[in-house]
Amino acid sequence: MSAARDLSTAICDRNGDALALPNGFPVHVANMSLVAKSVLELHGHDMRPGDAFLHNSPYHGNTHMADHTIVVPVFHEDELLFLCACRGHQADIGNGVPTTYNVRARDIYEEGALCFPGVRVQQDYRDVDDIIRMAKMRIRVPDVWYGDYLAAIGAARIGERSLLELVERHGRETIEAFCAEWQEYGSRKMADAIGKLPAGRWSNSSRHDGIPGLLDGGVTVGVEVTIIPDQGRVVVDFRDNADPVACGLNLCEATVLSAGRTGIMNRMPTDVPLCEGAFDRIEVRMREAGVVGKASLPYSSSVATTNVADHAILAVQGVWSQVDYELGMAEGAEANGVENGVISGYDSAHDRHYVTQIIAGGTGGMGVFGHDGWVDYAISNGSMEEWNAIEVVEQKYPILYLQQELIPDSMGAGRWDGAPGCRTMIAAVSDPVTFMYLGDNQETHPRGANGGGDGSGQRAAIVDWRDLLADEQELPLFNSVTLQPGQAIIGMTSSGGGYGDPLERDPEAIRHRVREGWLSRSRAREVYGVVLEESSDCEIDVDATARERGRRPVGHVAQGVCR
Amino acid sequence: MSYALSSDVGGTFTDLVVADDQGVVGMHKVLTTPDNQVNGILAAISAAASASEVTESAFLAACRSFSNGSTVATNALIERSTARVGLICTKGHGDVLLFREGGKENPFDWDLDYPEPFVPRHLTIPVTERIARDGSVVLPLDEAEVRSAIKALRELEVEAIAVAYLWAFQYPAHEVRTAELIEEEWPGVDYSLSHQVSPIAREYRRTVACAMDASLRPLLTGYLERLEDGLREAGFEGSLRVLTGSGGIAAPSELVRNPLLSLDSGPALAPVAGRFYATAEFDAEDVITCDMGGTSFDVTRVTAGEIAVTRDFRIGHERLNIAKVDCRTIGAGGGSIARVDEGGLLHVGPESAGSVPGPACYCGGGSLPTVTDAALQLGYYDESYFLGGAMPLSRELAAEAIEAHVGSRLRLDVDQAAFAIWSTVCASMTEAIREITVKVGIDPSEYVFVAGGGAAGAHIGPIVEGLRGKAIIVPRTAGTLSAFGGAIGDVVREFNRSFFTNSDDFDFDAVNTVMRGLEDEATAFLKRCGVAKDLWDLQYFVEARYQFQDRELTIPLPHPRIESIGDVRRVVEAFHDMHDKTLGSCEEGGLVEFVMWTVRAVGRRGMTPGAVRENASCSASEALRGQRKVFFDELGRKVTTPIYDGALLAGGSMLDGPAVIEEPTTSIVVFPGHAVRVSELGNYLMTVL
Repeated sequence: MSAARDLSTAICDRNGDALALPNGFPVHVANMSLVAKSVLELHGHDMRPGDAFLHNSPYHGNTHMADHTIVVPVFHEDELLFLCACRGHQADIGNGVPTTYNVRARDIYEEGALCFPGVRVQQDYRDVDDIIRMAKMRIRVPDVWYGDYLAAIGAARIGERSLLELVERHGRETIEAFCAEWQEYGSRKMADAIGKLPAGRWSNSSRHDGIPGLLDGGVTVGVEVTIIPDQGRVVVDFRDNADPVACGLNLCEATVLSAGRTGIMNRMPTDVPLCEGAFDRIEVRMREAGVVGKASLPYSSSVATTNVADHAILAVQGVWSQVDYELGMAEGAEANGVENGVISGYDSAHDRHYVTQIIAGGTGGMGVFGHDGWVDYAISNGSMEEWNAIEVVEQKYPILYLQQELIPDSMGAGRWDGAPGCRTMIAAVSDPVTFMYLGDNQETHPRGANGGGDGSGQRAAIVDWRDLLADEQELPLFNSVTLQPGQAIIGMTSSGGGYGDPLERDPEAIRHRVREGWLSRSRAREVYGVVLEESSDCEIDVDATARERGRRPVGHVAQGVCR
Repeated sequence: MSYALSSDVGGTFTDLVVADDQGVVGMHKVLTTPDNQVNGILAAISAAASASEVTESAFLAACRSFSNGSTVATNALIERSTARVGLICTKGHGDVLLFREGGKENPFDWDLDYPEPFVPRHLTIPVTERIARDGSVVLPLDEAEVRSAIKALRELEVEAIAVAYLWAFQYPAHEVRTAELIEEEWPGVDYSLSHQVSPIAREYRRTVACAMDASLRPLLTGYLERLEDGLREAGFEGSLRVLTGSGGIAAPSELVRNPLLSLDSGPALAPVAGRFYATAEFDAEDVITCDMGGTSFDVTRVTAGEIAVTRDFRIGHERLNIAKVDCRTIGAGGGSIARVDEGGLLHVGPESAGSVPGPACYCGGGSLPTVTDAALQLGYYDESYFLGGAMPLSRELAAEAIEAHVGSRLRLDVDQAAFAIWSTVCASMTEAIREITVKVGIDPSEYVFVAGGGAAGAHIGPIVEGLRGKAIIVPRTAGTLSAFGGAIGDVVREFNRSFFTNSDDFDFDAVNTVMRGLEDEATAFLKRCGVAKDLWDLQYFVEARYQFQDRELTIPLPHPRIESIGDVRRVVEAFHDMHDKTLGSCEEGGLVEFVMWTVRAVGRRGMTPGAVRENASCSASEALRGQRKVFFDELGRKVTTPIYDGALLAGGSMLDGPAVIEEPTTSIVVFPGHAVRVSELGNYLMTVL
């Protein structure tokens, strides 16, 4: 988890309400109060200083089994004042198969991960060895897990120490008054921002591809958003969605909540403080059990933080294009394919087995009003995840990156383009390597908005990379495959959808993209109606452009292409 | 008499410090001349000459050395006005500079453009080649492709070529061969090789460092030539030195070899000054140096006599692995603007009123309240004695601005509103200090604090008290800390190389070969800088982590070589200790992986502190200028407070807070419970009782 900054922290007040959520992934932190409240419910009566709780149960407020959350109570003179939480995504958690996402698990039993529903893992500042021993027995690479566990405990303990210092310095009364006032402040800021929006009710949906043999029809996430400016409130209603499914794609309370909040926060002013006071003004309604609802036994929520959760965010943020043209945003690309796959196997150079998720190469940010799509995009973490350096990954694992480059002409065209897709090619050199990945965006591409074209589709393929003439063999997008030395896997992410009519795109921006090799001259002409001269500077032929743009019908096709 | 001169060219002011063997004899501030910074330096020299009542050429003839720190390179990177560079890189990886390392500051912010790559794609040419982690050649270098890439870049009229291949930090053969091909195909063109600029794993950081290196060289070459010509023409015959971001000085040719050394060279010298004062006054080795001017607050740390260094340097949108003094900068200064948002929260900075229109009290048309306005309202400054009386201030305008924008919104009277502004900025500065101490496991309470910059004197006492510190020095050179650091700084540079090994299977031969190589580079550097051998000091470090984790810590090595299992064990124990201290946990018995090796070359110069307060002979009571009402929160109101004329206070003078000491460029507020003594060296030593 440390490799990709797939780790988030929070300080909650004594009620479990989040006070401070510094720089965390939205899917981790926009719901942190749930896990804190769950620990209070389970242990409120017997909690003591020096305790720490390990929580990964999506049935009790956590995100999914692979997110191990450490919750530490902070006491001042025997009175509970705060809870510090630190949540990190573990690559291996003892699943039935060596992956962090067990998508094929029909239920929690087949999923196989060890479930820790708010379990006391430290007492008097020391590990409860029974729990650690259980975990080490059932986790394939126990040392890496234990290293990450210690890091999370360390972070929470540093939080505990610092908070106590703060209380010592300023006195408990001042701190308590501040906590209350801070939530009030968040609430006022959010009310003020919502107060400036138009009133109304809008609905939208976003679809995850079908998965052959698992979920043939795919999952469509529907949502209804109601903005009530005079109350400073937004209601995000996910209740009109399907029953739970017999695989790991079900969401849970935490990820439905964070999806609803994230879709709204994506267009709120950036100075709204991230605390419960602000979040509380976004009410998220969901079913007690459902694929886009609370987790329910025996169904599995192994993959509750990406995939369907991503579409839940996209469905909500897509509403903005209907609310106001100047707030609108298209759909961004799903990046949970080959490039961000879980790899496993044996590395003969280090003489060890490994399971890890590699993080690099997702992109396809959506066009939004005023800006082209963000490159280095990822939906559920707001693009905060850090990409692995190729040299660092190659040092640790027996894989070799042959390519990681953007795909020209792939962008969903718009007045503001989606970001292009990315082509990643990874070879097995000395040892076989197994890739598991959960792609999407093949049947339904990231959709453009308000005249913008859809993004390109996602692809996966395998090739014998030493043979220049070898053909690439297409692979399924939901897949597990073992590469033999000499073989390489190719992942191509989707591009983002475009926003606004491509005929209104600034010709200078098109010239820049052509010059920089993102866009071909022919596509500049066909899709954007911009004619460039053949010189290396790509000067704009103003007259020809005016003619070309003048005769285009509005609403022509502008979907990105993946070659 | 022979002088050492040191100049620091900042965004607004060019500072010049004149020192002789006894210590500082003059400090001069002139406006920076952005078009040609050399003109500003020459103007400062004129000012120094006339202060000494000699001609410029006679003055310069008496100068044995001249050190210069400049923002030329930093500004050029920020303004993107560096030379046009072409990049040759590994095929399949032409977007290393576009993708960077992913990440985004605010997860919910989409109202922003993605930053363009440092080298545009149309000047980036990937070529076939690939070396794997074990050094095996997966794809040989395609020399025909390299030759045509060079031709293409020549046609594209680049001014320099950067070459950066994957794994070249450990296996540089393909870069070395590419260099030979460049010299054949385009003799004379300037080029940079990534394994020479930054032989460290992480392809993006190494590639961008290499491209920046290539893009800055023409600029720095030109600047240093202009500087040298200007000084020689004016009559300077001594040796020219440059300040570096490593917190030291070096020969100018070093900047041409390695232009990245010049980044951040201004703030990097402040801790050198801080360490000097802490040693001179208290014989202390742990020092926090704060520099607070009009728009920003810079803070640096010295621990056990060593300036804290970071190897994670950020500039604009880019991140480099180069060793720099770890300097935290926040947008908090006298000009920082206070505002109350819709939710009723008070913010101070980072927006600044600058010098135009300036704080409301400057009478320059500014209507927004600033930190300076708050300090004036609280009585910390004198309306008629700001900058020694050169600039009259309006208390009335300050009060109006505070009342209109803060007081009325928060329902506070004007003193309370001013205090809220002042204490908010103090809290931000305290937090910046915590960033480089508490957050890396260091307790600042035992540190000596050195405060520089015009605005620091009115804030430093409560900041240090909040950190539970006790000792503060406000030096006489407070206004020119960095330039003073340049006058006394050592020759310093760090040499790094990635090499992976671990505690179970330690590769003694390879590590010692790496160390020997780094040592050779370090000693060659000291020789080039003309440092006598008896003044050399080589220091050794390793970056280590638990195996397959990502967070590395820097561990000092007690010996230049690692020769036995026992040597390895001692390093491992030091690593466990530091991990526990800084990251809150440690894994006894865990496998430790070593990833990067460092040799730091230091050429000691050594300078004795000298007294600068020869003319002051008054006791505290004789230096009393008057009194005025000053607000102190501890007392809950404004109280009549004595005001002292700092220029008159003799060494040994003592006074207790509440009091205000006025100096021409700063105002030192002594809070209740704090006391000040003027040292024999002429510095103010403040104590939190």
